[in-house]
Amino acid sequence: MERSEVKRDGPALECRQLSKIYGAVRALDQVDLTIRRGRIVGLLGPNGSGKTTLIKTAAGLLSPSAGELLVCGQRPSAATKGLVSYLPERTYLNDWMRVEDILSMFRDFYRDFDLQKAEEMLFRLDIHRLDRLRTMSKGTREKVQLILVMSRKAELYLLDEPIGGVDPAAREFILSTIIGNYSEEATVVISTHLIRDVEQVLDDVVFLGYGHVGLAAPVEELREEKGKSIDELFREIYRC
Amino acid sequence: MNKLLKYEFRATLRLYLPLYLVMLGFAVLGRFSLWGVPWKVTVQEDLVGWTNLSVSVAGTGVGNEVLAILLNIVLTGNVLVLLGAMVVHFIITLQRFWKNLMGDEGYLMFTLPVSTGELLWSKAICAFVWGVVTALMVLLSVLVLAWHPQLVQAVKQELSTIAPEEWQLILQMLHSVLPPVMWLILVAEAVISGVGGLFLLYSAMAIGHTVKNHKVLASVGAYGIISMVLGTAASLLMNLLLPLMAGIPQDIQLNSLSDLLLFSYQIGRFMTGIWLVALVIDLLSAIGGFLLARHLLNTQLNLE
Repeated sequence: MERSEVKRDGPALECRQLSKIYGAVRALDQVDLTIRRGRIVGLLGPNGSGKTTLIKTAAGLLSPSAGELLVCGQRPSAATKGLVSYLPERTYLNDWMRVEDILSMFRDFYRDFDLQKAEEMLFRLDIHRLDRLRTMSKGTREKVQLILVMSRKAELYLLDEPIGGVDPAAREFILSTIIGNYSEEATVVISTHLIRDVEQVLDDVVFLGYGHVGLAAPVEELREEKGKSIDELFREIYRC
Repeated sequence: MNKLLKYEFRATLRLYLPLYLVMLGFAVLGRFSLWGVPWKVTVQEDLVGWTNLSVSVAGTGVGNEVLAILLNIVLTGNVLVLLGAMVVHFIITLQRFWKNLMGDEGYLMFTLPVSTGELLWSKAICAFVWGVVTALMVLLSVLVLAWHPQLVQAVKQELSTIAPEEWQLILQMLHSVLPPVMWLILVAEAVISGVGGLFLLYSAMAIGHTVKNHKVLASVGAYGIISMVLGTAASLLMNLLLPLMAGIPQDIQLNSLSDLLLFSYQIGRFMTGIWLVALVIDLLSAIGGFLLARHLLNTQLNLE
């Protein structure tokens, strides 16, 4: 059955028996998962656990092999892409563009894009409108990308490894940009394996390992129940 | 859709502008080299009565032979640049789809709130428009290169030998062979086969992208197979539809002027039929190409 209605009150993200198979590898294996609205969710797992696959499927960049994934009650489509603000784990910007080109592109395509907010954040980082993306360092380009993504007033933010591969100072900037800019009613999914750095900002965690959901619960509940930090719990479950 | 077109044209303009500048630059350079050479335009009539105009370096001697060689180099260089321009256009067309949709940039393009159909149309419309502009630029380059008073004079002189009543006959025959409806069909056919050809290219690349390794090779293979299947289907359809849509010319003895006009009319009717059938076939393959590419990108997209 084709779902065409975007639900404003149901879960932000729902997976039902979702599988994604690459050749002989099951990146996601019959995953059932519900992510509620208004939560900051850590999608945690070791490398190759299926985090990126799940996020890319939700962003509409991968087609499920079986099962289904719903964003605000709808299968990924042009309509859901208007609700999702996605930060990939790589640079996707056209490097021939200037900052002002990419700003006007986001303003043209996303109705929820706050140009003024983006310009303010760029100004604070001393990034100018006429700067070319080609001349920027990888780290600066990633920051521009994060600013673009967080300047949207989206329903669901999908942030794939936003703090992976950056220095501790940049990590702080990235996390404060995320926390300081997402809209309260929105849902934020942050995928990472650097749990200690994000633990303090999370409401819920989903442990993903080898294509399966190992655990999905609110952070406070887990801390109280297990008497451990999320980082310690993760290390215990996924010990090599 | 308009926004996608705006960004597609903006992204491609920076590639085509230097290309056109190089083309025109070479044409202007070639023209000035040719202007310095003393020309000789030779008018010759061949056995069938066709008039041939040929251009060569005037005079003889070693100096002129060197000039003749230089002239050939300049002309060959220009022809290579013009052929190169068409090749570059083809490469840009492929690269815009492959890099912008199937590569890292696809992460942005496929997360924009637009449908896959809109993405395909924006790419195809932009590539088609640039194809037309590139063809016009090739024509302009040739004109810049070849426009020479002596040549124009020779052509004018040749045309002035045709009597007014002969002109009338030529126009009548042209009207019979290419009636107004035929022009419409030809324009529609050029647009549909041009855009349809792009959709088939995109389908082949979308098929190639579904393969895990050797995606480029798989795309080339897919294009070969699509072309073969379409070629066979087109010839079957042509055989099926042609007798229904095109009047086959009768055996006419060309003894008089009216016989000639009747023959021209029949040829025109026959050609209109053929082009109409071609139009139907190309329309079907364009729709098929679009639907296949859209289906693959909607259901098999795997940006890794």
